[in-house]
Parts: sequence; C-alpha cells; structure tokens
Amino acid sequence: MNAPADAVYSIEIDAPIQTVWSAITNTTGVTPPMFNCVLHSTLEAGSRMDYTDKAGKRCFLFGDVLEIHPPTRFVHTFVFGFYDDAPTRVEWELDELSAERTRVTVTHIGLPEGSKTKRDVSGGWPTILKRFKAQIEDGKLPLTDRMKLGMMSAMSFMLPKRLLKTNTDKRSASLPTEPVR
Amino acid sequence: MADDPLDPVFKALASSPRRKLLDLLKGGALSTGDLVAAFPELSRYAVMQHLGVLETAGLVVSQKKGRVRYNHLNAVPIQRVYDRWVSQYAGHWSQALTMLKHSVEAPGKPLDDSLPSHSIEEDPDA
Repeated sequence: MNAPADAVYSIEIDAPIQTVWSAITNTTGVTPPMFNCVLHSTLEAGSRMDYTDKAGKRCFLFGDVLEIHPPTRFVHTFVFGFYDDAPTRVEWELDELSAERTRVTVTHIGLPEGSKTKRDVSGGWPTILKRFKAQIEDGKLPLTDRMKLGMMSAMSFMLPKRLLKTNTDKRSASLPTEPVR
Repeated sequence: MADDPLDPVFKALASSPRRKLLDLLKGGALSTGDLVAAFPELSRYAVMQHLGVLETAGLVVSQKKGRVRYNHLNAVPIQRVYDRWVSQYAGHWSQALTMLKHSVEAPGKPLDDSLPSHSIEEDPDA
C-alpha cells in the first residue's frame, strides 16, 4: 500500500467559475478566507508570492507560482512562515459544474509525515475552503469567523519575528527553486 | 421539504461499510484496489457503489495517478457538519463561561442577575 502523501480538499461553491477564480487569486486587498491575508504576486509562472498581513509587515505563507491557467488551475510552492519545513506543492483546480456552480479542489503534495506543516494544513484547508464558500455566496464570513480573525489580529504582536517579511524574504531567497516532485 | 445541502453527507454516513471506508482513508489515500481488498465479504461492485455514494457526498475525492485511482478523504463536509452544530453550541458555552467568569470576578455582584439565560434556539450570529 504505497499511497502518495497527498492531501485533497474539495468544496462546491454556488458561483460562476470566474467569480471563484477572482476570489482565490485576489491581489487587490485582503482575502478574508485566507486568514485576512493579502496576496502579493504578479501571478505569472516563476514569480514569487507572499501572503502577508494587511500592512505587509508579516508574511505567513510564501512560495513561487509554478503554473497559472485562469480560471481553472493555479499551482504554487508552499512554505509556512512559522516553520522551517521544506517547500511543498499546492494545486488549486476549479471545475465548472454549471454556469452557477464551481468545484474547488486543493491538492497539497509532498507533505512530510509528522511535519508541523502537515499538521497545520489538515485543519487549515477545510477552514479556508468553507470560508471561501461563505465569502463568495454570502458576501462575508460568519460572525464567529470574523470574531476569530479579529482576535488573531489583536494578538499579532505576539507573533514570532521570523514572520517579519524582511526575514521571510531572506529564507525565500535561499530556497531551492524546484519543489518536491 | 427543501433539500438540505448536507443531506448527501448524512445519507453517506448512515452505512457501516461506508464509515469503515472513511476510517480506512483517515490515515491517507488508498487505491480502489486496496479498498476492495479490505472488504473480503463484499464484491468489488458493492465497494465501488459505496465509494460512489461517498464521492457524491464529497466525502471522498478520487484522483488518477498513472493507472491507479487513489481515493482521498475530504474533511471539508465533515467540518461543515461540525460547524453547523458543535461550534455554535461551543460558542454558547464559551460565552456563558466568560460571563460567569466576569460575574464571579466582579465584587459584590449577585450571580443570578448577571448570568445569561440561554436557549438553544438563539442564533449567535443574529
């Protein structure tokens, strides 16, 4: 039984594929479902991408764009700012089920067994996907989610210095350009 | 009766072989062949039918790698089930406990006046 160490997360959203694509690849401000982060990237294959806080001071997640084919496929490497785990690979796939319904599937590839990254993404992706569904279908996140995000933002002074973008930039520069697999 | 979007999830969970399939996938993706082999008492066809129901409910996502089809557990619908009930009640409880904490910490204030009376029908988001 040689199963690949991939994790798959999927959700169906009642919206046209272009709307879902725009929400996922939004670079014009905060994306509430992505823990209120701002995505900084030119979104071209080979370009760097960073998910930072609103001020652009701390970077929670970074990587390189590997493939981008609007509105169906977005592949990038994935490094958690918190940890020193090697880059993993994330594939976003959008399927147009109908004019008003889209399936989003996230495949996270190469998660080392027992790593902190694996532990965190197993709870993280379901949260992110259902928040995208809420954001796109209802225009906002549920109150309890907004309260949690507000609380996280109020506690951001407690976050480690390694998340400062000046530090993640250094780490990113020293990473191999090719991710696992 | 209007269809509940979580109906297929509950239908899928209301079967012991299908719950066993999910248990098997909890540790990581498995090929369809591996899953069939885990049910010596069922035919290949029956296992495939069960997998189909789980896939329709979104609880299993299958992906083809070369000639092998791998089945992954998708935790998203389960978290939506959790959100719908457990986290709402958890919200009530944590709110009630916070208020209890405030009331016991406030000097000279009788408990009864400050404790909220919660009913389960209340919508915490309202």
